[in-house]
Amino acid sequence: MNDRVLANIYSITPLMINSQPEQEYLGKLDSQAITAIYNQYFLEVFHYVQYRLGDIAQAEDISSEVFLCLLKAIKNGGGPGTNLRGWLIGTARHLVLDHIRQKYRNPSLEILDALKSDEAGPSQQAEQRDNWNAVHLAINELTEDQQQVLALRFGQGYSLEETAIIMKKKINAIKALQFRALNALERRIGKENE
Amino acid sequence: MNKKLVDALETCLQRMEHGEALDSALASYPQLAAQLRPLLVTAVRARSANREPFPQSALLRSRSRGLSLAADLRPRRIHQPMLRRFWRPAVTILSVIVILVVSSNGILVASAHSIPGDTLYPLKLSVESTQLNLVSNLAQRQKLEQTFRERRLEETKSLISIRRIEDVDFTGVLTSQSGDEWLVSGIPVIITAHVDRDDGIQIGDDIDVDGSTDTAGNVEAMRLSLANVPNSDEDYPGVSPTKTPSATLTPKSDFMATPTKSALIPAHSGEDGNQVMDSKDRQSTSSGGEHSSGETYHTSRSNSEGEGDD
Repeated sequence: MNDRVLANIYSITPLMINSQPEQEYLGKLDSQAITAIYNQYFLEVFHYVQYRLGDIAQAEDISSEVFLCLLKAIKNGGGPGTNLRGWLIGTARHLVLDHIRQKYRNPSLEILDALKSDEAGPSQQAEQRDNWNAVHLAINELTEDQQQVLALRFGQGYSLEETAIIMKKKINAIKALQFRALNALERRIGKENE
Repeated sequence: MNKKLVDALETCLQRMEHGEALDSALASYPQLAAQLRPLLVTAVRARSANREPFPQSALLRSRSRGLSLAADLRPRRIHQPMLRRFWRPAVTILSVIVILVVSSNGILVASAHSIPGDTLYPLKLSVESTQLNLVSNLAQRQKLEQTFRERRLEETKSLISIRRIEDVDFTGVLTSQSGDEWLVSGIPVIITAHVDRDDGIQIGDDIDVDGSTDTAGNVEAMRLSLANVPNSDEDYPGVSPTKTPSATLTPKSDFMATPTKSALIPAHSGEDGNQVMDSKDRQSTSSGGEHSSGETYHTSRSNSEGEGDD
């Protein structure tokens, strides 16, 4: 498979997998196709998970698990239909939720430590990390849908349309959800700042 | 929920996404600015929160795991060792060869019983041709040719018995001539005005008959010619004789002309064969004392000359 084909399949139409040959490349677990998918989507999935969990190590593990799930699903004749990105983010979301549930059942000092500021680092980095930790703690108190819309809109930078496709909602519903999420987040951040 | 506020928030977010400053975006909505500002500030914090450096090694590690898993998930034949990859085709090819050998042997056996018009008949002729080409010894070759001539006779008789119309070419002894119907080694041959035939064919001659069988049980001749059949001490009705050394023959045995290849002689029934045999016997009797060891003895035109019978 040449680069042009890969570009056509995985770059120009990143959201959709439309044609039969594309499905066939995936179905055959073609090494080049898999590499292209990793190159195209791993960073997005990683950022999504990192945004949701706030931890790089956890983000790497879960992102990696997302792609392994993809390969297993393809092997079993399942996997994404026409929306590969949506499938990946959706799977990542489920894995994140599983991870959060596990965390609540088995609280770990390690995870909490990750959310603490890195006082040993440069002051600017420490400030950014403090900011992120505050935001992340506040986000964790939102509803699942609110967390999801913030992760997709502000973590991933997806458009309203892309977010609507992934969350399987109408655009107006996403707008309203985003408004409520920002309101809720603003209130919680404001509380922390008081 | 204030739809106007929701839409204004989205518009401001998009303008900031494209690089516009927060205050500039808010300038379009002075009446809503107080409500929008804290939301936009929160959005900026939420957006900037995720910008930690991405470890490239994470992609490499994960991709390596994925490719390894994909290799395991692919059909196993890709990873089979060379021996296992090729043993199945090898067995298949071997099986085909065995089947071909066995079946070709069976085909050869089956072709031996074929007659003109059968699918395997050309194969039978090819085998005979090959057999002749492989024989270098003259005596063996003549013996083989005699065997094949007998086969042609038997095949013609078989065609007549089942009333199959086919072209035939056989060699036999002319035993009777009755108008347009001749009898050649027991086979009735119809002679028409268009037959191409050698001159001087007489009773007792070995003749080649080229024609075709008909539904009435005859052979319609197309060409009749004197056959070039080697002389033989043994002479049997209906069969072209084969030359055989007569060193062991006694004068008495000359008259008996004991066949040495009785198994090869086509079965003759009816009076014709006996009639010819009688003719030979008579002829042998008339000249029996003249035969001596080493001389040849055969049914030929000279034998029948002077007999005058038909």
